[in-house]
Amino acid sequence: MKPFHQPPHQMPHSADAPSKSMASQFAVRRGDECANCGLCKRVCIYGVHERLEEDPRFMAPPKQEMCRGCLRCVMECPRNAITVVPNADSDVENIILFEASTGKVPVSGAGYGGRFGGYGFDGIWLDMSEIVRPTRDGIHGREYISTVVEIGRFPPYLKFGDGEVEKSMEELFTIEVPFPILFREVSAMDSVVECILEATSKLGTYMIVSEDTYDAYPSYRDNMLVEVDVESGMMDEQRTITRVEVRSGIEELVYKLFKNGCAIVHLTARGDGRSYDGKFAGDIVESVHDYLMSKGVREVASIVFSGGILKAEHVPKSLILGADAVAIDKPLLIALEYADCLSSDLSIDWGVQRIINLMCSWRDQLLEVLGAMGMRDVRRIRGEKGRAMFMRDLENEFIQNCGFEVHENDDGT
Amino acid sequence: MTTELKIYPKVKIAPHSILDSINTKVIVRNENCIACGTCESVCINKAHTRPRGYNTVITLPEKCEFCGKCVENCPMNALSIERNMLMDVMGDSRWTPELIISTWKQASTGSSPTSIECEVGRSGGGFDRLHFKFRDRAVKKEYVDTSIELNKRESGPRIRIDVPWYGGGMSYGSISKNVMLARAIAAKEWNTFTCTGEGGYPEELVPYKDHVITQIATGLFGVSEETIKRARIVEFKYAQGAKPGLGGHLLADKVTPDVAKMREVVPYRSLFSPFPFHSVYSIEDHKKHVDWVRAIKPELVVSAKVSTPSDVDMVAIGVYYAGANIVHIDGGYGGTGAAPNIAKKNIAMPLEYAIPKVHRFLEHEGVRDEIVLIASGGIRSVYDIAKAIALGADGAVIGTAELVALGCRRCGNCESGRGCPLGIATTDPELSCEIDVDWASQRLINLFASWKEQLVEILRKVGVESVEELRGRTDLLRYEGAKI
Ligand code: SF4
Ligand code: SF4
Ligand code: SF4
Ligand code: SF4
Repeated sequence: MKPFHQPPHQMPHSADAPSKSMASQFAVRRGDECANCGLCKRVCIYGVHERLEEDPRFMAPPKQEMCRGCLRCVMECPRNAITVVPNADSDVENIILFEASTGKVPVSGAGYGGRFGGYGFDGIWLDMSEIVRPTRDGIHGREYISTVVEIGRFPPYLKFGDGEVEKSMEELFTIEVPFPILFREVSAMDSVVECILEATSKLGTYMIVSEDTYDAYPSYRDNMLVEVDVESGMMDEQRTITRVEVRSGIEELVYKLFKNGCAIVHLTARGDGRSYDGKFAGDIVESVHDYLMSKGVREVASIVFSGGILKAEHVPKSLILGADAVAIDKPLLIALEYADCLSSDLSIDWGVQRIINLMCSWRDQLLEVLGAMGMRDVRRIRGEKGRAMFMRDLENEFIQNCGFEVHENDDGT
Repeated sequence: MTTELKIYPKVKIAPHSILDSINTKVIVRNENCIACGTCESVCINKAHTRPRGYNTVITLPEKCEFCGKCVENCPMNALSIERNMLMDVMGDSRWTPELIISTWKQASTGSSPTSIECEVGRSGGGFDRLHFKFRDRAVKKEYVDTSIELNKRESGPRIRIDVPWYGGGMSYGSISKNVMLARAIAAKEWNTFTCTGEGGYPEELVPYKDHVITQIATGLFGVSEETIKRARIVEFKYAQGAKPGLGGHLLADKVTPDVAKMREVVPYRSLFSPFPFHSVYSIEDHKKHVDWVRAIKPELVVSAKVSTPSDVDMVAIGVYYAGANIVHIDGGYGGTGAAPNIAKKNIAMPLEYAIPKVHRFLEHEGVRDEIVLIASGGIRSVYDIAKAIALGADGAVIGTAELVALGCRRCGNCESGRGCPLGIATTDPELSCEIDVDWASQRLINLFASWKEQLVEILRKVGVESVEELRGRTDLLRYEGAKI
């Protein structure tokens, strides 16, 4: 039997593992109009603009990877010679690259500049704990916040025989994951897969794999879960996770799986976070969770949710909607700069460190959020919709409070 | 009321050679120009000129108002008006480039440019979906009252400010001393307030002490009996919207020896203000706080700054019963200091939802007229202030807008390394010299003047005679139908 109280999990240490592509956030160009006056060198405090070393009469090409986008050079250049353009559509990627390089929590000044609310995860705000809550423990107590989750098959109730908890419990399959994030198998070169597997075992989490991969990498089996299809009927075997595609009306199916001894159900949505019938997958996870609760079986098995988890904030939000853990794949590939290193120059050590960094950062962000919510155990937010605020509710309350007339359209807000 | 005779601070042009030349559009002259001088003579703004002794014509972009006359009249088709490329890279969906440029112009000139859309941003929700229902029968009265009272309880001193906004807490350490000083000067000129933030009370602010709020935050950095006695208003910062539940955070680089001295700490070590006050776990404890400062100075007006959890209404009523005069709710989208990105958007509700919730609740409890509700966190312009008031607040607290007036372009680099490259949010001795106190305070005075003018205009057009009358008048607002 496992000890009842686990000491807080030690994460492997994060360490610098700089991105290879030096993906710069901004493209800085100096046009032919430049008169080499050197003003930009003076105004840029980040050292983007320097003179050519071999011929200081001319400006060197801008070191754009150092640019922070303050636009000072653009505004001050007397010849309007400089353009600074943010590298498009890389918001999510930039954040992951930063996290993977440093293992740190992204921090910035100047408030929030994004959209007000939005679809899916963007329409959910986590609640925080104001002065009047007694169970608060400050952010400095975060080493006491636990991010460990247990997933697998649990007995619906304890059975006692001869004054002992009955043996059959031992046969139930449960695993303990240090933070509620599993990895999904990626279709990529062997070295990438190996990298992720090595990181998986260092981090103590699990990778959801096909049977072929399970056979191909025997040394990592301790950190693998074999994914089986609903139809295959193998779902009650140890170390399996049963894949169910997220679409409306799967509640009954998942309920049956739970009833029939399945240990872990893997609800997979499309890569954009939508269900296979085009809805926000989180809503369906929520309704599956609620259905299982109403049938009184939610606690016997676990739900892992995947699809569209690209940011650290998606993890607590998925848990609040009812998943026990999430699984990710795309962030791993972004962290490994997979598109940029198709060749065999992927160093395993570097790659493993990148993934460790990414997870350290995400776990730290989870801690920030849990700290703010006044929660000391991540398991307590599972399905806790009371600890989140949903745009649909806030919007209705707002409209009511203000007496506005609104012509709804079904865009999901 | 006597305020009618008040003399308002003078608007003086506070130019900035770079910021003034930036607009939403640019005028471009191509190589076909033969320097005939036609554009010089047709332009009523004198935006084109042939410098003496030169055979070329140049454009002074800060003067151009894009009327297009020169473009029409140029015999060589050498001129064109184009979109400024900066519009694509500057700002974000809350602080649109238009809004930033318009704030710069207001700070330079003291009036708002009519040609730039600055009423709403593009965030797709909240203030950006609210519009005033302007009516035809505007208030004829010359005088429209924009002042508000900050103490509505029976006891304690009356404190009336001339405009329904005051400056939020930005600590010495997060912003430079020059900027702090400029804010205090502008606050005094406009008979309103600014706030120390949690970084101590620099001596230079003492001459403005009647217009400076002393903030007491969880780290208690630089708080002393003396700084409490100096103040007319003391603000307890229980939480802040940008990082609700996380406390304050000043990264090591910004803790220069000067800052460290003020805060009585070791230089170049990251500073954390814990969350929450470890002496406050209930509303009774908050009452203890209020009693504590009132024991030091009985006639204090006390404000409690809280963020916006789902039970913000309960928090507000608790704050009232503990004896505070002002409940200051800080929504998540504002903030100027360093915050983890995950906390900025995802924790606590947006301000726009929180205001009517608290307002209605205080009304139901029958105490609405004894407590002042101040809103902050994502207030960008005077339109936002007016909307917040129409939603139910008494007034608003601003922060970022003041920094933008000084040239901030919201690049978000304030927290790292030496801080703001423009010398605004920094304590780097060299960089802070970029901001001159007189110039900066004049810019803030100008911004407030422009805001006040626009506020009067808004009040007249919705048909109310004072800003106090606007409070809670959601019937004067139109909410754009659900749309993403
Ligand atoms: S400020 Fe402009 S003209 Fe001067 S060196 Fe830089 S790019 Fe060239
Ligand atoms: S935009 Fe700012 S950081 Fe980037 S090169 Fe220009 S001055 Fe340097
Ligand atoms: S009118 Fe045209 S050609 Fe003449 S000076 Fe102006 S831009 Fe040049
Ligand atoms: S670094 Fe300066 S310009 Fe940039 S957002 Fe911060 S205060 Fe504004």
